[in-house]
Amino acid sequence: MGTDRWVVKFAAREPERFDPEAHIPVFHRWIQQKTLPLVLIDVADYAHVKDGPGVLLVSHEYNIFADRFDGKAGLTVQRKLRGGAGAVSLADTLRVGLLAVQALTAESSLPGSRFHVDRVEVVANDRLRAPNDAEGWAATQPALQDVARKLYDGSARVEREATNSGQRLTAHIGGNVDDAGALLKKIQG
Amino acid sequence: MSETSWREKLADRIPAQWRDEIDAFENQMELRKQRKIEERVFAEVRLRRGAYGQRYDNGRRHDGLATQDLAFPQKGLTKGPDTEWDAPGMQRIKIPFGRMSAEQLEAIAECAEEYSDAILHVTTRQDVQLHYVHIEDSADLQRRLAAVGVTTREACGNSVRNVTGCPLAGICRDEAFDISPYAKAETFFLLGHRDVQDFGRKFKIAYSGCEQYSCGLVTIHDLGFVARTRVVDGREERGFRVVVGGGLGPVPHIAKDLYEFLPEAEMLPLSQAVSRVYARLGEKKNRNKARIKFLVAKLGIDEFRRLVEEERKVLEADPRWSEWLATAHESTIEHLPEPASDGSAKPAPGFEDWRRTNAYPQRQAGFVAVSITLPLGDLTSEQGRAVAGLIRRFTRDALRTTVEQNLILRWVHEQDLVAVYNELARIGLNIPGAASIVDVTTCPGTDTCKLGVASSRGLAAEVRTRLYARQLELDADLRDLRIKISGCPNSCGQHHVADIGFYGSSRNVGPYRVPHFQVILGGEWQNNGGSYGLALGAVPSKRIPETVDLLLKSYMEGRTNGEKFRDWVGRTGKKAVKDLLNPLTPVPSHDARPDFYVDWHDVREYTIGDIGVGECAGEVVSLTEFSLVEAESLAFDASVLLDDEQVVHRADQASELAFQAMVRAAQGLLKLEDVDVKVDAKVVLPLFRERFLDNERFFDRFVGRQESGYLLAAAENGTKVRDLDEAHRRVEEAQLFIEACHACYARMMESKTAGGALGRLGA
Repeated sequence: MGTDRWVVKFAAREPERFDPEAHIPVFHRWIQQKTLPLVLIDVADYAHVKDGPGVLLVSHEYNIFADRFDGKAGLTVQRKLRGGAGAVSLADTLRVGLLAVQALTAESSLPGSRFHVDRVEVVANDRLRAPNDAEGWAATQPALQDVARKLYDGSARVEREATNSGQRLTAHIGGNVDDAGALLKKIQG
Repeated sequence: MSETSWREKLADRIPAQWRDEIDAFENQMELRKQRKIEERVFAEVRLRRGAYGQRYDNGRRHDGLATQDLAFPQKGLTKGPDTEWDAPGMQRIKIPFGRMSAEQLEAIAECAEEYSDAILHVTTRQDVQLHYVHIEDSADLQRRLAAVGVTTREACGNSVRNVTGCPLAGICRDEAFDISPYAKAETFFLLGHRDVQDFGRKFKIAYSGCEQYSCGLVTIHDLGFVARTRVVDGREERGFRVVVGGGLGPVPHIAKDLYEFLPEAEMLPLSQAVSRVYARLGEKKNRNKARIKFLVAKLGIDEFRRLVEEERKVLEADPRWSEWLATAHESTIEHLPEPASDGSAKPAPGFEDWRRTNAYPQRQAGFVAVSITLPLGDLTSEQGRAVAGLIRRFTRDALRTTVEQNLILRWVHEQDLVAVYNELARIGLNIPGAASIVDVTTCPGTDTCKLGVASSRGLAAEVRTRLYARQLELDADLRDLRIKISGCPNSCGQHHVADIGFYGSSRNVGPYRVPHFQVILGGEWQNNGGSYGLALGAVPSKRIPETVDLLLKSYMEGRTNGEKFRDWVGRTGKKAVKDLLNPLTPVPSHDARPDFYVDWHDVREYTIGDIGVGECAGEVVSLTEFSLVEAESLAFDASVLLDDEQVVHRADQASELAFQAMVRAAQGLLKLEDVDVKVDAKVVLPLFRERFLDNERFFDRFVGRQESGYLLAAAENGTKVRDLDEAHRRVEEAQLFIEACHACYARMMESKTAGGALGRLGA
């Protein structure tokens, strides 16, 4: 039994230009216009916290952060929904993330919000079903490989990141595709 | 993986009673989903587990253009009246006297990461709150905390809330003795005790080690204990000065002295007796009059004491009253760690400024306590884990949260101070200015609280940023001031005991609403929150930073030698200070300054309703507003009368003036009904009752009949008051009634506008 709780992060292409606070009006407009296929609720400003969540777009299903978690600028998507454990929920999380990446890329007011999609950080946000140890890795790796192959075909890579005890099980998936639209087609198709 | 649930995995690590309670809560959730528990009952069950509602939990939100339905999947399933099941909520976590071990901090950080948004928010009651939590995650969250000795039981609801205590207890240079074991004994004695299950409202207890400082804030609590010693037959005895019936809320009360010296052995039975009196005689129906402060005020402290003493006599003896005393006097000296570093580390930039404000030399030579300043009370999960690492590496003592929304790391060897600072710098928590003017306190306000009127966090962030930019140029006398902000009159930001306090309000300008903050001056933070400030009037939210600058500048220019800010306000007089602020009160037109109509750190047109903002309703608006402005002016005059505390007869005058202000405001609202009558209570009140109270048009869904009760009580009981304290409260009540009139007026105007728009569409 795998986890259904995932966090994925797309690193900013130009971290020095990335400005979490600039996302506040954009995220509010997304709520008005229902830009993402989610129950969008509110925007929370955590820009005052160093290396933190930045600006959060809260939805029922996901938290979407224009963030600087761990000092790294990027777009983080945290799945809150239950069910569809393993590759199914991971693929769904990546789908929502890629939709958000695409939508931000289309925002002319956010020239710094462009993201790499050829290498995605994936965190198993579940210390029960995916503990940060060998057993947890064994339980999680198949879902990561399954989804990586689906997205990146033969160039797919899955690498576990060495993290401290207490931190969550973390990996990177990636391949030779760096276009959100192309990846979305694969994951939706 | 073999484990299937936290329930199974942690079963052996959770105390049996706590485990059963959480299991029962999970079952109750299931029964509620099957509609087998009535929603009001479930709401109280949920609150007593610390699972609280958040903004928009009624499933509706104004997005700046229109009110949208939030299409939660389990539509119609509620976890309380008007509270959607799927709406994200807040989980409050009790941290008794703010004490947390490294393991506990890590567990909370993990829960924040997995169930919340990776933010731990420290509150003004030394709690930690997690936001955006789904109720169905709450049982596992609670299990994971219970496994490390942290409970959420009775963190909300009509129960004994977190017992707070001085975070310097045990290391303080001024305390009579360490209150930690006493606060801990109180916490776990009353937790779930049968005598504290039938309160009409929440009950807050605090412990302080000294009289003169503010760490314990006992005078703003329902029940407060201040450590004292006395010598009897050559032996020192420990005990407490006990106060009861204090509290902030919309109308603050200073606690009254119950005992000058209560022996330590009597602490728990006394608490039990007070609880029983409150449970038996406290108001149950009208929640706005249900706090113990109203019971104490009604009975008088002498009668209340008599009732408590009678109750004490009939209590059945309980071995838990004294079991804990055997270890209460133990010293922590024997647990001291060795230095963890050789002291040769070079400090990261900013060390000296930080040390000046954030390092407290303990009374134990060679040790310091370190304040970790948290901007707006927030830290990330990753920072939480790093701080836990600091606890383990540098000190075997636990961390404490503070009522100023910070953390305190205690028992740090002076030799390790640079190493600790460098580590804090690495994680972005080496912020100077703890417990100073730049360390602004704020409740969540409109960010997440459904009672929030204005963005207290947005304003606090703005004020804090501006003050930090110039903190080095601030005079030492300014640095010690406190700024505290609440998003509404309910005082979660403790604005009444700040030198400069603000609480959120709103005003209509033509067809628009404009976020404002009431300015409160004259509060006293020292002496455990010694006295409360009074409102000077509302200023547009966008001009509050200017207001702060102006107040500080005027104080610096106008003070006499060594005069404190509070004394300067008192000497200058409220009227003169208000005159100073008057130029900041006008609101520019919407066309000229649209930013005035948007709250801090938001982009939506400001509204607190979900109906939207429409066209101007015409001249009736200005007539009503004219009356409301006059009412505010009268209320202010009443507060000015209280400036001269030597003239007792002014208390009655102030009370009468406050009543007239309320009558004036009520008369203003009648104008909305095209009823124009003279300002005479005998004429206004029956009409106001008929047109606004009997049909409940005046009542806000959250505060209900509270404000109208102030008017009716004054009309029925007369305006003669017993003392200045009571007059003080009358003026506060008048201010709140006028605020409620503003809110009622705004709601009615929005209804009219919506009706008008619909009418036009229909035509």
